[in-house]
Amino acid sequence: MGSHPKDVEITDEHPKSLLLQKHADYILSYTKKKEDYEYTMTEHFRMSGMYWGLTAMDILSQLDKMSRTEVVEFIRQCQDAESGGFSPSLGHDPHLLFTLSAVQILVMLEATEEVSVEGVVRYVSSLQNEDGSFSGDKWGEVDTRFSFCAVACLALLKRLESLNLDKAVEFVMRCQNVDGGFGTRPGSESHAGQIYCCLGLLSIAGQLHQVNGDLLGWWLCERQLPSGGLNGRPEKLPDVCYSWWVLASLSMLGRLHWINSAKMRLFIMATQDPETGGFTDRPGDMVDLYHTLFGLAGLSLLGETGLKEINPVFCMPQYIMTRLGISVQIVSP
Amino acid sequence: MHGRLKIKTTAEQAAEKKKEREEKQKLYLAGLSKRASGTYDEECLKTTAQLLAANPDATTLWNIRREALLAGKSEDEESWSEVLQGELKMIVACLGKNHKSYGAWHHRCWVMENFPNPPWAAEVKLCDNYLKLDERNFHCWDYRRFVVAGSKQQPEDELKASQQLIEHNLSNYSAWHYRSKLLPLVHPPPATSPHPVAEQALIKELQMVVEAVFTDPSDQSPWFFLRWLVGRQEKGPRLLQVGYIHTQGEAGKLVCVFSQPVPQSAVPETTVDGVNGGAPLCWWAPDKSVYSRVWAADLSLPLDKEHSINLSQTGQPTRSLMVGQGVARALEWVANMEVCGEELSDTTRSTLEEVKENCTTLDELDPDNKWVMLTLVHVLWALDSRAHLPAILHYLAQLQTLDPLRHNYYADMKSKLVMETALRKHRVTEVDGDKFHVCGQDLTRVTHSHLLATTDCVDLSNNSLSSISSLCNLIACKELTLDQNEIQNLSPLSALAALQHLSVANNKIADIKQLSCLQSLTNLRHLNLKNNPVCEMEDSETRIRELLPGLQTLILR
Repeated sequence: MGSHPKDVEITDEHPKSLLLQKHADYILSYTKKKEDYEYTMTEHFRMSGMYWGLTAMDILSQLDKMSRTEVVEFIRQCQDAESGGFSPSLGHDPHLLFTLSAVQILVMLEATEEVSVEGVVRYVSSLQNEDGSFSGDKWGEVDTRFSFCAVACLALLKRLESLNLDKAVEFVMRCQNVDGGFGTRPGSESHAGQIYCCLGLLSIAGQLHQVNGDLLGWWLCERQLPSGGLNGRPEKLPDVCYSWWVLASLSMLGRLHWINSAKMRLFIMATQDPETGGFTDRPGDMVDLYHTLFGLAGLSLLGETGLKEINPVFCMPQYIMTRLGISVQIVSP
Repeated sequence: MHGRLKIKTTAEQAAEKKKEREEKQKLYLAGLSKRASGTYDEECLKTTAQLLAANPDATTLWNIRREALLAGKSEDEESWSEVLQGELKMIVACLGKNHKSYGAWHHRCWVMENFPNPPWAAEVKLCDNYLKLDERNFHCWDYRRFVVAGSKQQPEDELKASQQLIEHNLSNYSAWHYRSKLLPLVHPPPATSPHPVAEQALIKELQMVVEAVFTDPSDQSPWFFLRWLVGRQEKGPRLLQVGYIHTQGEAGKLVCVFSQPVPQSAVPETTVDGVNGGAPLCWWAPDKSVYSRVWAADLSLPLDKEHSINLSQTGQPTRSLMVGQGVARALEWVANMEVCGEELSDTTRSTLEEVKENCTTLDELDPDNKWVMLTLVHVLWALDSRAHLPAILHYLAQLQTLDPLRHNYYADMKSKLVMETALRKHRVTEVDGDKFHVCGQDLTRVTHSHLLATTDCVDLSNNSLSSISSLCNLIACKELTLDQNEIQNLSPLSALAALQHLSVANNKIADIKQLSCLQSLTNLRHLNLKNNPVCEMEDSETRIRELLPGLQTLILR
């Protein structure tokens, strides 16, 4: 078989087991260093950063270490009174990406009554286009990621009837490709992140039967490279965030067993930084909150002990979904 | 935030970064205050340009910039075009910092949409250049589709462009993908064709891609494309079978089986013995989902006379089902299960045969190439899965060794093929009547279980089944044997109301709670649990009998 020039090597020096407390400490210290360069430069996606950190802390069973009051107050300030949407932080504009992050956090903290839910519903439904797609904000960028954000948002608030779900499904199905995957818009190439979004939407809508599980499942399991890591498209480098996008997608399709989980686990473990705590995209790179959440979430899907069970559609701890009484569609192989 | 190598920073570097940050922060705040006061001046454009060149992902800055541009929009088309031309240049600077910036590419679309006469042709060229820089940049590919649509460029031209990119690098999956989108536009197949593109084009493409895989058989991109070409187009859902089965006494079930999952509204209108206005039938899906391949309705018909059931679908002839006096079941197959290979034209068949020959040659030259083997599996499957069964199974077994990461995928594909073949045999010969068995075949999953919805005796012993979720479709099954598997969970069987005999000897049922799902099976009389961990439990017999008082026989040892 051909060599894999686009892969990484896992050596004995890389961590082999979960550095659970290190990660909790990393997340905690991140939120404390508000003067840090890293912290200020991430202001334009702060709301999502908070969601990544809080969800990771919850999976690690250390959510109580985060300040609920501070977080809720921040989110309250970020809701745009006029449109109803949420911005990533003060002084920035509202967007669907951050509206979903805000709703995810509020649901996790049981604090939805602290904001205007009607405002959120108004904002999300106002962004649906004639063809069923969603714009990310009023400037009109269309992407299947935004379709997922919109549908997941209103599903969490139990207000799905406020958007046209059939049309949303119809648009997503127009983005399907001959390899079974999905892209950003009709005609776009398949990409594991977009596939996760589209399958998540179809799962919420109970429409996963429209997908050929054997075909797409194969494309997804072909993302695993000899190192055990997963890439997001053919002939690309592995990245720990795909351990979430791909594994969650395979879970929804009932085909998680199509990848080698022992090797996958080793790869994710190797992306931990034993000095700082946190996960990186590939062994040896810089850690960040994004990869820390998706590393932990991937391990949770693989059944790692010490981590709370995660829901493959909402990327939130399962106990929260149970508490809300929200169930998602998972197909059988 | 991807691919940033971890480098230790010195105190000096840190101080420099701090200064840089403070500068940017000042600029950002200046931009915000301009916006708040509605001062969209030259200064505002300059500031945002400076900041975006350093961080093109800051969406809000792009928004401020668009507001400023619109506020200063001139009525004069020429000067407005000039402003927008400047914008295109400014974006190029930002793409220099990050050519995968969502914000930058979206702003480019916005600029083009605002142009009085958009320079489409120049933008197609720009895409050519960026794709030379990074042939897999999906932002640029998306933008290319946008400008191609705007410029009304013909798909034929783009097909040529994709060809050139493929010739330049066979590993360019993006270009192959583009081709798969363009081909059906340029060479649409007839409506009834099982192929994704018109036959002439299909043959040409197959030859082209075979040439490509011969050039470098380890390149995976062309193999994905080849798999698509040899695959069949999925047809819409069709009604496959209607049936009536007496399950106990006069109680029975009316069953409709479809080739694809359908909603309840797709079930035909039904009249029983010519009565239209009777109690409406209440249809349900075995797995309780909204879309299902199997729909059933409870219906009691007196055994002492004959009955006729009419099912009518709009646009389809009415189906009549006669249930004879005292007869246990009446079935009618409306359509055949799809059989690969049957609809192939002679030309396509010979082309596929050629692909098969070529791959066989490649397999000899490069015996450990998984792509060659996998393609042989698909081509043989497409040609005639029944005739080629031993060869396909052989390749799949080899693939399991050769590509251990995907061991379970190959195992599941083997299972699918075994089930498909067994079901076809079952249908054609009907030697065993309504008995179906696949034993000792290493099944890891049960596919096509909807085709067993009316079967009353199923034996899947001595396989490797751990999940039996699809068995919920066996709604007429009276006798189910699943000995010697790896089953832990019996809950999918909880709705199989007709079940009388259940044998799950030599499995992994460990918890007595697993058996509580059998409480709903009021007809269950015989249960074989031999050699399951649950049998080792203290008082197991008493406790199971308490749980399932209707049992006549319970085998634990």
